[in-house]
Amino acid sequence: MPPPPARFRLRQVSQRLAGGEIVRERDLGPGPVTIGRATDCDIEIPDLAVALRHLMLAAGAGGEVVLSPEAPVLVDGHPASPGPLPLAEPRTIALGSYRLTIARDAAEAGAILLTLEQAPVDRALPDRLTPPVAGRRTAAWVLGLVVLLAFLAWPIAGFLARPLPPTAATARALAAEPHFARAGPRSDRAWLSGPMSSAHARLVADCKACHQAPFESVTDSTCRSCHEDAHDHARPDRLLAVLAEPPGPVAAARAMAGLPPGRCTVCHTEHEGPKLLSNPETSGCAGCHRDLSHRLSDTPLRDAGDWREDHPEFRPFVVAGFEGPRPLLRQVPLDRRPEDRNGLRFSHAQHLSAANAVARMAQRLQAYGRPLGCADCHRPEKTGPGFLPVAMERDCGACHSLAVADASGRIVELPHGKPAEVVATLAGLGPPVAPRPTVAGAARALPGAGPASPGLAPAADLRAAAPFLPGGVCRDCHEVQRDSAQGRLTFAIAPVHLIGRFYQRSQFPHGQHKTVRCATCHAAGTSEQAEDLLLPAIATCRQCHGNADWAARHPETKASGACATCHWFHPDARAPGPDARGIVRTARGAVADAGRRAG
Amino acid sequence: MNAPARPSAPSTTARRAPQAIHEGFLAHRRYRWAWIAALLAGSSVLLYALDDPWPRPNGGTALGYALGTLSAGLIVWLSLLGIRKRRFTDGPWSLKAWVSAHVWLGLALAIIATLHAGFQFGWNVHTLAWALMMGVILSGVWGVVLYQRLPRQLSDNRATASERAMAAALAESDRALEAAARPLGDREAALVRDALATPAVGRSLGSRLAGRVPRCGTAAALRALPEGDPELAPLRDLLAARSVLLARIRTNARLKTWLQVWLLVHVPLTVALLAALLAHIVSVFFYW
Amino acid sequence: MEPSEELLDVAIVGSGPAGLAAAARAARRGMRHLLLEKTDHLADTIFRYQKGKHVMATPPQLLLRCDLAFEAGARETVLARWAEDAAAAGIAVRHHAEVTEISGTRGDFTLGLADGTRIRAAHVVLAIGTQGNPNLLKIPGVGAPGAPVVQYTLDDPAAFVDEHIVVVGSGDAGIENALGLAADPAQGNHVTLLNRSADFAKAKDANVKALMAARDAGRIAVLTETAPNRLEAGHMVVDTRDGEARLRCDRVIARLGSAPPRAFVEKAGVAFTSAAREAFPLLSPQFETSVPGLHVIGALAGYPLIKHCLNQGHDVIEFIAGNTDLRPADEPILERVFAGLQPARPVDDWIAFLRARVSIFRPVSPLQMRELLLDATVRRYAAGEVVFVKNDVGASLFAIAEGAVEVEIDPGPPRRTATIGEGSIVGEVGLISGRRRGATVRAATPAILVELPRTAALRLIGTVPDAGAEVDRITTTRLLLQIFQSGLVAEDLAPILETARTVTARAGEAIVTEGETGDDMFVIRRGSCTVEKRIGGRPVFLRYLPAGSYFGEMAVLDGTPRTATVRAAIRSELIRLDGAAFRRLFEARPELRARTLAEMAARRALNAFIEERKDRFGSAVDLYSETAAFLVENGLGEATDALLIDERLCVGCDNCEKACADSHDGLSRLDREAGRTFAYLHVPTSCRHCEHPHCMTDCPPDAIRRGPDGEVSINDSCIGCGNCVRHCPYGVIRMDSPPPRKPGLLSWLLLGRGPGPGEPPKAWAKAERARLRTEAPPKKAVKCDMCAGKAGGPACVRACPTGAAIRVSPETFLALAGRRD
Repeated sequence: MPPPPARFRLRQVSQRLAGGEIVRERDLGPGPVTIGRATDCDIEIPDLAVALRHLMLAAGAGGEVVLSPEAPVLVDGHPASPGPLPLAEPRTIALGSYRLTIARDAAEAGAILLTLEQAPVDRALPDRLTPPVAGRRTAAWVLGLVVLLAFLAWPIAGFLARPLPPTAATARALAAEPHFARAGPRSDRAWLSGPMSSAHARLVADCKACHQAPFESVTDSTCRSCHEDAHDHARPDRLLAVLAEPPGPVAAARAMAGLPPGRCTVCHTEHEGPKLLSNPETSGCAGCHRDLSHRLSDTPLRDAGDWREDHPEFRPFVVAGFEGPRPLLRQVPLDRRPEDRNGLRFSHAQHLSAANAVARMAQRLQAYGRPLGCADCHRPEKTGPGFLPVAMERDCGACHSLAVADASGRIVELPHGKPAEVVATLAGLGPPVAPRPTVAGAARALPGAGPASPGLAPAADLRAAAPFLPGGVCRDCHEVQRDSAQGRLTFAIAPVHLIGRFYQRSQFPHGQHKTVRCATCHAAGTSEQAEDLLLPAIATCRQCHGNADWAARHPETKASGACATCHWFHPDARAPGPDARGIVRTARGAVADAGRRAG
Repeated sequence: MNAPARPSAPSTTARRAPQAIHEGFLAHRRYRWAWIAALLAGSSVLLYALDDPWPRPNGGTALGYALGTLSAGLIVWLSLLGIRKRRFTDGPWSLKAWVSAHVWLGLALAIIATLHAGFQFGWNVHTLAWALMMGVILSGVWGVVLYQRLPRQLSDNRATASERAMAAALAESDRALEAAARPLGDREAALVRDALATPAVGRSLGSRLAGRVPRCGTAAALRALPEGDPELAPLRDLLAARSVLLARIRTNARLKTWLQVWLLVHVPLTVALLAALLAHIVSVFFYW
Repeated sequence: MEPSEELLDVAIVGSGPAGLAAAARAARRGMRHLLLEKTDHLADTIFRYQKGKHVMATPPQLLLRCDLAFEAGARETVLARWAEDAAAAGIAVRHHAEVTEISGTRGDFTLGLADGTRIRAAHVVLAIGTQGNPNLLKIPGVGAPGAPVVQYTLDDPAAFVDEHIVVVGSGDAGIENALGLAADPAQGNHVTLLNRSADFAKAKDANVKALMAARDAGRIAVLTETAPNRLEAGHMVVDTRDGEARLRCDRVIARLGSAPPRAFVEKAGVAFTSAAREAFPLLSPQFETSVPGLHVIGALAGYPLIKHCLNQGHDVIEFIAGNTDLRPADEPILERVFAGLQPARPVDDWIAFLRARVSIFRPVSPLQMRELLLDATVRRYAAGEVVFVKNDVGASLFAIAEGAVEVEIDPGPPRRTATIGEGSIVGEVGLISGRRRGATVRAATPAILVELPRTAALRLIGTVPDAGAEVDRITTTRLLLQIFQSGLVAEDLAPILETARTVTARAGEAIVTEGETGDDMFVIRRGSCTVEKRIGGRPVFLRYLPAGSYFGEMAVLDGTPRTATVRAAIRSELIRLDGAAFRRLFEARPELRARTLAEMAARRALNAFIEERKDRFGSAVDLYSETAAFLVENGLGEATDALLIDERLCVGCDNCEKACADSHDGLSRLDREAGRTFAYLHVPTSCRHCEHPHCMTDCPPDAIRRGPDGEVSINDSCIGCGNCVRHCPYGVIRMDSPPPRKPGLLSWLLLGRGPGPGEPPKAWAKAERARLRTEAPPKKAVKCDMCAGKAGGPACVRACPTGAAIRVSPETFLALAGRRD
């Protein structure tokens, strides 16, 4: 007997809002059972994912279920095709958010239990429709860490990895390389606070060359490891005394930070562009010198601040007299009208006249051919801003010839500056002297010949004494001191000292003033006395230097009012004066030297 | 006789200063912080103009250090707003005053820090810090502008509904659409299902900033359903209502996202700035 | 069982706490007794509390004197303990025993039960509470086979699935039942609510709103102006306005209210204290009614508290058993209350003394007095001694039992005082609002004053209507004297006060209408009103009248038509004073009228001013008017301090909420988004600290107080009853439980660990949601406390980065409306 046709039973499970289930059971009869969204289906599934008529289930003869899908159906997750579906174990059909389980009904033999459940649906309304914009924290971490790694950790690591620079000698040798670079990471380039000075430009890739220890300012010893021959600007104690900052918050902060005053780097700032390494501006010098007398109570130097407003009158060295043969030099400000008692007799006015005998003579002389000018006697130095010392033989000798006939009638050249030999020569006692070639075309009366009458042969004594006697050739320029204690023919010439450098602290670059006539500054044309000091006063310089109007009208002249226009801090070797030993070389000199070395 | 007819409320009036009207953070206390910031920036400019350091103004002069310290302090203080605004309970402070100070001092910072740099810029960590700072300030200005303009639009768009009400309306629209589509054919059901599956607000930042959702199922369904069919008319009406609602929700989301998105620039840049500031300070003193 | 001929010693009707305690005592004493319970379980009222409800044990100072153990705890625990104790005591109980009549007198009472059984007893103890029996649905077909089931209670709405249910009744109970049945669509119930009238006047607004929302969502069918006609198989036939209709119906839930048991009790011959609906039976100190041998205890006697009931159950049996020496359980407490008074007198004497002297105590029964005095302070004041000082925090009521006090109206100079004499009360102004003292009060002569704490005083007003009326009379007199200052004395007002009637106005209801004639005068007792005038066809907002204000006096004085419309801003109670009585007063004393007219010139000037400027009012005024109306509508009218957000400034950062949560255990007490908006002005869901806080209306542990800064806050004694939540019209109180600690701010800021500021821990919040699905709501009510005690004021305002959030008081919010562009 065939088994009675199977019956379908539906067990519909729904979820309560408050939790728990509601189970509804229904007998569907022997089937077939239609399942779909349509209301007339046996099992209505209110889900839009389900077709109006989705599938049909019929009871098979062998207790299985025959599936007739009208829309794609997944049974246990696999696409199902029409046909019998064995029910050895429960089968599950997914229908939208619902799950239909087909199983044999344990309670009733032959019955097929369809269990319809809805997957839990979250019916809760969202708290907000617009979720907050996320990602700030992640982005912040990433950016922050990137910056820290690239710009803090990496440079420090590079610094630590790089060896200290080699010894001074090697460093110098390396610095001479056109492309200075040491091995090692260049991770700290990002720390460069500004372009390097041209002198240090090659060091740009090697911060550790100067910054040798972390959190420590560049030390003077680091500077000196290359700049071995650099001098102090002054005695260190003097310098410190001057540079000591007035007590205050800034000084306190510096002291706290371990930054003593007077270090090289205080004035020689780096990372300020290709040009500036030292401080050339007024403020740099005036920083100390404006009130130096307050900073250094025992300084001989005058306070000097602004060039136009606050600069003392020039104080040239002049010869105040002689102590025996030694000149007594004294500094006298120009506004006190100093006299330079150099021991000569000389009139600039006479020599520079355009019309007098001197002018005539010069016109006759082939070497001049015109009245004398400044440059006929004052010759510029080959290297250097000044003039060569006036030399008797070269600068005066053309006119003031010392060739005379001696006792034997020979023309001899009197030795200049040696009175004893002059006497001996003229007395015929001295060795014959070749007449010094005089300036060509010189037809000038020989010394001593002028006043002597031609037919009269003076006595040998008289002859020998003639240059020294009044009217004698020596007395043209010199004072003659007759030394009675030494005998009749013993003469002495008053000592002469021509100052080569009037100014100790400055040197006038005549070369840069070629466009200016000498007379503009030096009132030589009216000077009758050798004692006249022809140096221009500060007012003369100020006519151009530091004069904004003038500078505006003559921009090409670059007439600056800066200290370094006239002074270099370190006077060179030719600086005269007793104080020169304490003064170091100029920075410019040092640079020039370094340049020479490098070249 | 016991007391006046209207029980007076001495507590509420005497305790707090009367503050009858809303005052925005920019105008807080009659622009108090704007004045302070202007004073700070102005005096910095004045000092900078009067100072004539050798060789040139930069961070290493006395004024440079002073301005730098001030700037660094300001940066750190300004960035503390992020913490301040989340520490609600300690102390008698007002976040509005902090924001006011934050905005105005932040603007002053742009001037002060630039003076600290002495207009020296280069490809280095120092300029990086400056650039990040300017980035932060500019994004902050952007934020201020957004804060001035968007709330009103947000309110206008929302009208009287709250976001929760919109969510409820959307849920109701979901329900109604689903119910309306249930008896309809499979094609219509699929269209409605797509419409329901489209998120109300785009997930990506871009779509939220644009206030649009790519491939919006509601719009697609409206296009796909024929207009004349009387059977589909209720569904169309529901979809049309839904698309109006969605437009409002998306505008709301767009404005809210704009109100927040500037912080996505401002905050990470601030953190990067703090890192760069640290690197800047360390580097300066590392290579002193 | 044969109608019992056995004479019981005592029959106890009702097995609530009182009846149960009485039965337990009787059993312990070995008396022949029977406990009659109408249902199939003991203590039905408590049995019907919602699941897990916390049952309170107040007043805490009262000693428990009975055979049942009782301490505060969950409903289930309490019931289980009582069942245990009742069994242990050997109580004889008869379930399903509904007593329908009581006759006889001491020694021979006969109780008729609904099933016809008669029971004889020497004494009867009535402990039936005040619930009474539900009104029955009296239509044909009820109980017929196949007809829908009719039930009068609904225990578990979740129990019904796929049913067609008709709920009859438009009160809160019916609406709540209907909503409960339709809450879960999964249940598949078809719920219909029938309402005889057109609106739901009896129900709370919140319930009506929820009902309308459910109706609009299609979950509930609401039929108004519809009444049940008859039941048929599977259907209910109803009468609608348009005729009969047939509804599918499987079940009827009838919530037609209940008949108070007074009629039943009176039928037994028991006299009541007064004719007032809420009056209690007249009782001797031994709880004996006017019928000898018939005792009434428990809620029916005026004692709703469980502890009282239990004690009375014990005591009444002791009295019946002849233990006349038994002092009431509260005797020692009351002795302490009177301990400060000399000469020493028995407690009963003092109570009699107070009742005789003080007008508001006159209608109070001695038993009620005892209870009232448990919390009271009675002390003697020397002449000149300060009772309370102006601006003090305090909301207690003082009754003058002897002597007089003087109220300092103006500290001067010249100092002005008013004297209040014996029998009157003082300090009643702050009673409802909990506000600070308005004036300093001193004893004018040596005086005895009874100080009733706020809750006790409110209980007195609420439970003894005559006492409440007396308080009203006193306050109204004082108010009128203040309004009509000119030489009026209290005696003048007596005839006017005779006419005083309390009127209740719904929100928006017009109390007087512009142009209308009428000469009644109104005093706002509770709630608030707005004054508006029609200008150019539109109503223009003129003024806001808080509680304690008056209006309508102009019509009284000169008989002109009403010059403006006054509407209730919120549900309000007003005292209406008859204009005719006033007119008689003024006719008798014309000079009084003239002077009053002169003094009231200011108010008239304003009206005249507006009248004159009618044409110039433009759209700005409209906006002002609308904004003001909006603010009033949103409860700012009754606010003392409300949060307002300017949407033009608000960037939606939710910092206000986060700050609030952060300041309060991680639970925000404000909902920024919710709430209404008008003209960019948003009133978020946040406490307004109402003038007369609704939430304070019924707080059993008196946990809601007004603090020193005017803030209304809930203290730790909250028991989670949820009354405040239900009473708040603005939905700003929530039941919640505090979350656990969370990690520090930096850990969140940098690493995103844990919840952010102002957020509860995520796992906790999730667990909490899951818990809420299965368990009863948590146990604490939380609401804004205005960040009392926190430096700098409310965190929400302090944490607002843009200045969008401000808090306003009513003094300033109208200025706010006026200054908007």
